[in-house]
Amino acid sequence: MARSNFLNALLLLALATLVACATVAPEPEVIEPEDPRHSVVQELQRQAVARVQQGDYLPAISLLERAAQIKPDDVGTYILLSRAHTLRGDPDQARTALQRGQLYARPGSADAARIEHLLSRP
Amino acid sequence: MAKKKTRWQAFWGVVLKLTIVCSILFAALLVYLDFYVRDRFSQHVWSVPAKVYGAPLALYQGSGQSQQEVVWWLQRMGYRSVNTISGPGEYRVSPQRIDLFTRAYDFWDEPETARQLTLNFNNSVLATLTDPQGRAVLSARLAPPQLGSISPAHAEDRVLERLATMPPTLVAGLVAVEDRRFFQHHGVSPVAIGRALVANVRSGRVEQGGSTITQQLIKNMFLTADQTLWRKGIEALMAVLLELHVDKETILETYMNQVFIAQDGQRAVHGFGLAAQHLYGRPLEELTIGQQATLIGILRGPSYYSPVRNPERALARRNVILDVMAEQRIISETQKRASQAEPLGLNSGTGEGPYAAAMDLVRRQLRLWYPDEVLNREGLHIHTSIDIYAQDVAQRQMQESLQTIERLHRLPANQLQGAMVLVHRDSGDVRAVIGARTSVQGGFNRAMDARRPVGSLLKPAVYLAALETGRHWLMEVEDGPVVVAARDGTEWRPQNFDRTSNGMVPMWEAMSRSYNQAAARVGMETGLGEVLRSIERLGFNGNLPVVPAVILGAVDMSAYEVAQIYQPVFSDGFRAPLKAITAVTTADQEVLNQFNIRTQQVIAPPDAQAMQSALQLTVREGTGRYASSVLSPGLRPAGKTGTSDQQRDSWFAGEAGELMAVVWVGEDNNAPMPITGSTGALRVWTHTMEQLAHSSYDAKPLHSSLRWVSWHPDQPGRYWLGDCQALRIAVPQAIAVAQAQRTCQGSSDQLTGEQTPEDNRRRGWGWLDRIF
Repeated sequence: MARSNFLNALLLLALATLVACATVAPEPEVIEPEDPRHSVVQELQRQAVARVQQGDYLPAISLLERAAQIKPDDVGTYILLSRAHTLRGDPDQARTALQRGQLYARPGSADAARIEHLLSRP
Repeated sequence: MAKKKTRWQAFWGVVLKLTIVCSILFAALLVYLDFYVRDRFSQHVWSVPAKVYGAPLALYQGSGQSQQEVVWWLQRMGYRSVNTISGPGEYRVSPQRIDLFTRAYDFWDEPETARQLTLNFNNSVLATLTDPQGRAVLSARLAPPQLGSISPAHAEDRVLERLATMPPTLVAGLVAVEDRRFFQHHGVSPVAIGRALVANVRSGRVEQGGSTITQQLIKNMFLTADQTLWRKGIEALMAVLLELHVDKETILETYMNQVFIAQDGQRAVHGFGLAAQHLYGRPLEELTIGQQATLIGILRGPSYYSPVRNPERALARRNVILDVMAEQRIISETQKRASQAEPLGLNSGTGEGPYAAAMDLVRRQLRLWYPDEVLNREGLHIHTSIDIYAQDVAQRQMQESLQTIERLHRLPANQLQGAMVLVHRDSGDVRAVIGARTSVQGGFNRAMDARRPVGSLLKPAVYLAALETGRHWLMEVEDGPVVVAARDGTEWRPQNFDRTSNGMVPMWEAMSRSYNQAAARVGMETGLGEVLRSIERLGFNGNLPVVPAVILGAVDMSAYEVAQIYQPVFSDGFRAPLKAITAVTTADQEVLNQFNIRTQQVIAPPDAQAMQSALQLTVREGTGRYASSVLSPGLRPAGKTGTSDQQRDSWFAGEAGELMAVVWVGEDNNAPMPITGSTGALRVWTHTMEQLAHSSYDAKPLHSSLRWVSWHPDQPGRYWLGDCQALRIAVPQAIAVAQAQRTCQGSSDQLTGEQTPEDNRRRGWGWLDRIF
């Protein structure tokens, strides 16, 4: 169980790193100015992942809920939130987090497909 | 001679025996007192009531605060406005900029260090945060404001302080004034007693006391205030015994945390730590020398020298204390003169008064988890979502709007009462609770306890049930006379507000203009059971009468209960139980309980979004039009008015930006008023949201199963597919395609009507799929 949690935490860390990489990678087609709240949300996501690594799931969830209040349309927050709820052993809230994220994922987007995929898993 | 000798012997024998008996009794008394003092002192547990904290001010780029709002917070948190910033708790304001030095705070989720920040504003809205080197700072939080304490009536309250962290001038000043030989004597001071005796004999009355700090502590902790010789004797003995076992520093620290300093309503303010918060709104270590001297001066007579009740007397006493401090070389002559020139500098308002209704909610929620004895004694910290700025704005708007309504409708001044519950829409976090027209009234908490008929506020639940059974907003419905036979043989014949009928109308119009007959027809056709289930599913736990009149709001609810049933509607169908408490920690910030958001989907998102679009239309062209004339369209205001029978209650429930609020206006004696939901509660709601809601909140796409249908106000019934006309409503895609005559070009399908760069930015996230 502990080993499984450790692996999950590592996976979450990898996720967060990739979130950061994905969002700073050059995207030539993006022409809109960066939302200033994005960096704040990213930092909260990083802090949450660090808390998960320590096994502190509740503070991690709290940090992610703060992120969701600051920028509710950041779909990544809901995915991390879902993961944190799963690790804490709360599948109902994990599913609800994904459903909340689904509302902000534009139809047909990669986000929408990913959440759809996650929700389809038992 | 022999006889005399025998008498003397007998006399001395008696004296000797009495002396022996008295000595034994005295020794026994000493042993008892010694045990008593040691036992009581070592086992003394401070009675520290739970402290309730509001949400902290969170600063980050894009957080949207105005410069005025940030200055309000700094003043409220006891920050000092200075020309040169040198330490925590100071700030400087210049055009489009605030420099400040924050205070450290050990938040339960992430600690915040004290640091210097520069806030730059663009058009008076926070644009950037930087450190003194000009590097960007992502976010910062001020320490949370205290709302109040959870204590029984007439209870002691205190903030414990360590001697080492108290200002040295305060400690030295206190010793100089109260007990100059404290560090030399052994509990009692014969010199002080002699000096007091001489002074009292000279003046002919009790002018000075000879009690040492140790004696005062003994009296405060273990004895009564009786001025008897016996009590004074016991006090002196206990003081000497205490000093045999406890060091001077511990005695002084205990005294400074124990001593009574002020009365705040029913709360007794004990110790210098809480006194600093109570009188100056800042931590003890940040008090000026003048403020420290004022606190020392109060000890002689907390009521007589109260700076709140008797400022002139307190000022004179403070100056005497400053003279003593200079004479004892604790401060310099220059410091003395500068301090004596200062005003008292009170910054009270830290009492519970402005937050009485919010504190009432916190208490109710806390008692579900903790027994009173834990809350009253163990110094817990209760962290809440209550936003003191939102409380301040909402209370002010309640008062000002009610004055305006009374003036416009020629009502006597102060006739109307009001209540409001302000909530963060998606999380259900309660931001403000207003229980009365003015904060000073306190008492009856109308937001929680005034259950009144809600009128048309229940129509969204009725139409929601209709939408869920296959109806849509473009369907025609008849607004004409309706007769419903009740089980008891009576007939229900609802009327419209203006006593006329409007014939066949689209369902969106029946909703936005709040036609009663159409709603009654839709409700009965959908089924009363479905309507009742819809209300319960939204979160109402009270009693619902099983009668058709429920459709038009013949149900008593409080503003808090209404806020709960509207929250899932505005949050796309996700119900989050309203809550004010976010976490409970020990005084050392160890988390005992954390109350995270728990959501549950209770309405299908397309139905919730379709309902939101109708509520937006209600504000755009229906009974909520006043809000549209005041609020920015970017706030996407949406909501519903409610007016009870004979206009006894005026309601509005609505959302704007990230917030939702429910407002009730009425009279305590339930009298009819010449106002409706539109002319009463809506005005309070609108002006509150005008100041609190942020338009930059989110960009939520319209659900893929829905499409916008829009039309021009002069051409109702000529629908366009898409969002390109002044008025719009969301309907299922197939209905939109079938009923629209024309198609908009390049229209957006967001519920907000705003474009977002989010999807572009998120492109390239295929890696997540691979990982999951």
